This record gives sequence, structure tokens and C-alpha cells, in this order.
Amino acid sequence: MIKRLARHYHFMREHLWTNSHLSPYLDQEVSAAERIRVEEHTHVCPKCHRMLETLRETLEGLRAMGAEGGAPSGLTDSVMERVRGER
Amino acid sequence: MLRPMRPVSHADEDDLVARAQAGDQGAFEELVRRHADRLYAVVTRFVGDRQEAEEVTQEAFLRAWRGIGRFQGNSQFFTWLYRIGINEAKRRVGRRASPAGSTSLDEHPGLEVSDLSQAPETSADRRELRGVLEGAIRALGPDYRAALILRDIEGLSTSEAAETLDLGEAAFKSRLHRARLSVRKAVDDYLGDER
Ligand SMILES: [Zn+2]
Repeated sequence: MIKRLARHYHFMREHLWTNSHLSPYLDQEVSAAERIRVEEHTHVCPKCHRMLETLRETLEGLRAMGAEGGAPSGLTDSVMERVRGER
Repeated sequence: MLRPMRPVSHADEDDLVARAQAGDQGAFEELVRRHADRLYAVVTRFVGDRQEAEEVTQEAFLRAWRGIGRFQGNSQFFTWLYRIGINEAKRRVGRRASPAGSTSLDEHPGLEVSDLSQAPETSADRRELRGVLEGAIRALGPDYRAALILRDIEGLSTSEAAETLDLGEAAFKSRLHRARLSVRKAVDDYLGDER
């Protein structure tokens, strides 16, 4: 009984800690020890595992959005026309 | 290609800034040319409308020209410029918000999902995920949206993005984390239906 409680307490502590470290983990802003801690818990916790995977997909999707676009061709000229009109 | 996402920090950029500060319009024009694509991209993501983004970007450059004498040079030029752009974008978005102060961004004219999803090589799945991401970004409050756009879409470093938003790194990270969780939730809901 006590053992089970202790195990549960340990799991919940790791769960909360991991949850708040997924973002820095994916940004590679954690220490080697912290990285292992995240990986050990996500290995045994389906919730955190899913959190991590969906967060990873989210960040990849967002990054892909940054590759596109480009200002309209006349934008610089329009800006400079207004700059020249300032004085 | 537009990469690198961040304006490359040319060795002569300080020189261009100094000349622009002395009133050299040609030097300023070169700065506009260098930063127009990325500033426009940031602003477009923020306001969600290309026409409006073009107006905001122009206005931001004009403000930069008027205020360039106040640029100190202890931050990078592009973070200073992005800050002006984001503040201008916030002003616009705030102005068109309903008088009741409703925070539902769905009421605002935003990007059609297809508008920024024209990349021909993207599969239907990718386009759909893109639509989910765009909807989730639009639903974020302006401060959270700005953090996510700068760090996760534009790829600025934590310190550059924090500097742009005039925040300490810890405050920036916590804002970014909340924004990410909110967008992740939308992705999870979408994938949950799929899997
Ligand atoms: Zn967990």
C-alpha cells in the first residue's frame, strides 16, 4: 500500500515536471540530465507522450509556415515615395 | 529563396543605419529592401490579411524613418523594426475589435484558410493542418500571437524575440509556452479526429 502510494507520488511528480519541460525540451534548452528525465517519463506516460508528439508536430507545422511569402513587389517603392514626401 | 528567415546581419548594416540617421534616404531604402519580406511576413501573420499587412508594413517603415534618430544601436536594427511593425499591427487589430471588447477573433475578417496555403506541393493533409494552425493562431490574444509568430514561425532566437517584444527572457518563455499549448490543443483535437 505504502509502496503503491510512493510509486504514484513519484509518477505524478514526474508527470508535472515533464509537462512543464516539454517546450524547452523541444527547443533543446534542457540539460542532458533533464533530457533523460523527460524521455524516461514520456516513455511510460501515454498522456505526456501524446503531448510531446503533438507539440512536436505543431512546432514543425509552424516552422514550415515561415518559409513562404514575400512582400508585394512595389512595397519598397511605395515606402520610399512616402519617405521622400516627408520633407 | 527567402531563407534565411532572419535578415542576415550584414557587416555594413550599422553603417546603413548611421547614414539613414544622418538623413541619407538611399541608405534607408537599402534597409527597407533588406527587411521588407520578413517584416511583411510577420505583419501578415499578425493581422491575417494581405492588404492590411501591406498598409501596416508601409506605415511601420515610415515610422521607422521618422524615429530612426531614436534607434540606439544597443539592440539589433531588425528587432527594433519588428517592434514598430508589431505595435502598428496591434493598433490596427485593436481598432477593428468590436466596441464591446469581444476577444473572439473569429468575428474579424481574417485570412481565408486557402489564402496562405497556396504552396502547390503541399498535400491535402498538410493544407488541412495548415488551416488548423492558422485558425489557432488567429484565436490567440495579440501578445501570445506575437510571441509565437516571432519565435516559432519566423525562427528568431529566444533572446531576439524577447528583445523585440521588450520582455525579459523568462517572461517571454512563459508567454510562448502558453501560446504553444493553446495551438497544440487545436492540433491535438484535429489529429484526434483523424487517428
Ligand atoms: Zn505524464
